[in-house]
Amino acid sequence: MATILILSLVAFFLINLPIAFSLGAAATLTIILQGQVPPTLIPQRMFAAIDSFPLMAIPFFVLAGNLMGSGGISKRLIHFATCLIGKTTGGLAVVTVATCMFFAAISGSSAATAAAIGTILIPAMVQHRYSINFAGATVASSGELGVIIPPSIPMVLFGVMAGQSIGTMFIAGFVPGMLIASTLMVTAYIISRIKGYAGTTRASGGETWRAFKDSALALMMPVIILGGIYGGIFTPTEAAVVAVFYGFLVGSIVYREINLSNITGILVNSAITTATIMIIISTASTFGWIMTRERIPIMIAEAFLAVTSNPAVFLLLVNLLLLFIGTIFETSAALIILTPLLFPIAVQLGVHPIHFGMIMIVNLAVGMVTPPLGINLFVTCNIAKIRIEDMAGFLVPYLIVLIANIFIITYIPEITLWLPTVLGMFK
Amino acid sequence: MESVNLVVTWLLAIILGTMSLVVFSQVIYRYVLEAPLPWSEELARYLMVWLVLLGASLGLRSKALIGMEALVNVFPPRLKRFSIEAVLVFSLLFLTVVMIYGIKLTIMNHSQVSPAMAIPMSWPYAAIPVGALLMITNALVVAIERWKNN
Repeated sequence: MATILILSLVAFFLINLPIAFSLGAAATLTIILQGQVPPTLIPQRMFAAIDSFPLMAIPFFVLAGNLMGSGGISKRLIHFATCLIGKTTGGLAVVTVATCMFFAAISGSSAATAAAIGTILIPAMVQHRYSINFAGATVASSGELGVIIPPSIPMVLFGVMAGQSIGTMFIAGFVPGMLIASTLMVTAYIISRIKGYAGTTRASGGETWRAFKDSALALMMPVIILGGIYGGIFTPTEAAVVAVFYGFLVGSIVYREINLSNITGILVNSAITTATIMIIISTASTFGWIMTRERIPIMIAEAFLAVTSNPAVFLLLVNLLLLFIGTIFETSAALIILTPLLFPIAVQLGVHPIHFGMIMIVNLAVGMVTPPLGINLFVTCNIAKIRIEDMAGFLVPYLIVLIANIFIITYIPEITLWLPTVLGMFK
Repeated sequence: MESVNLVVTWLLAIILGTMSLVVFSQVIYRYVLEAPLPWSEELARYLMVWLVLLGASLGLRSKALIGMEALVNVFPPRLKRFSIEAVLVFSLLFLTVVMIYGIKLTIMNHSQVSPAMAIPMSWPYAAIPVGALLMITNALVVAIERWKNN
């Protein structure tokens, strides 16, 4: 039965049956052929998996990000970043990374980050005589920060699937996010130096101050979210809903860009985005139940442990596996399927649970910037009206940097664990 | 079907708006008024179940449900066409099973009441068969549209 379950799943994936249906159909086929479990278990597990308060952080963070995005926040953040660092060589490219970093602290998704920033900065870079391919590659790579800098939807998923504190995951993502952002900025600077892309004109102190005041309300959002969670005031779900109201008030009253005519669209889009992720969680739960019954996680653990019981080697194998899976699978889907399989082995080998979560997320995030299924690539190609092949030359240096970061984060656990430890989050 | 989808679209906006209000008032009641609401979390959870099932049906309509497109795109054209029809068949089969047993589960749980709000558990459970039915019809609408275009 284990063979039927796995083979049918692979077959369904290959013919491009939606991932949610592939998981559900493979589980259903196995349950019906086996005839030992009542099939009411199928809807029962589907219901139980999404009847969850911690998972509600997902719709709220999606909604908060969309409210902020439609509320005209991206252009204010970009203006502030340009005043701050635009004058260096390759100014707008460095600004792209910096704004993605700020925006990532509001939004929990990479595609949303790349879209919000790319729509404004790709045309701006082209206007300043940057190569459009370089502009696209920079936006696509920096968009990755969306899921690494908290809040992050994959972190919510990992927390729920692995039974770890989502709040701790968020705090742990801060330093790795800064590391990746700073190395991306250096890369953008070096490429611009070689290509001779100049910076923007220096902004006056007064202009910088006005730009700061203009975007301060947006920059407060991560402080509310992380501060609220860290201070023990809110659960991540509650922090997310506070972010929704904050985003709504700022967008409607202060910036006056959200009104009755566009609020419905924002709600509906957020609901559909949420549903496309959570319907996978729903059917994956039925699949996971039957998979556990067939003892597949144990078989996979034994196979891994037969190869190595050295944590360093295990993590290397995990990195290679995740990088590969990340290229063909959507990040959330890969996380939902793989966490129950890999997490128990990692814990058994003594890898810190939060550190392992971070390793999974940084690996799968790179998959968003690699063909064939890199969501950030699709988003930026769509905005810039170029093909993925066109920007390949500029993507390579960024990818090398991102992969180097994965190995640094994998083999120096302190980068992830230092901040939560200092803040006393491990008790 | 498009008018049904329009109703679902409005429902989604109302559900997500209500969820936000309910959980936000939970925060206010707990931290500001120091009188926690007993029903807020349960109501928000059940609304989310409906949100996911209804939202997935619109996701299916707008072809937003994530699949593994990487491979099917390098298939030879005939195999690709075959895959597209196979996807329809397997989607319909799976969703029909979910709908039938979802109805069964809903009926089974009708006499149960929820812990906090004391509503029949068939209300939240009904999201599963209703969502499955909407997904079935939308899958058919997408397929008919494709056949017409060929």
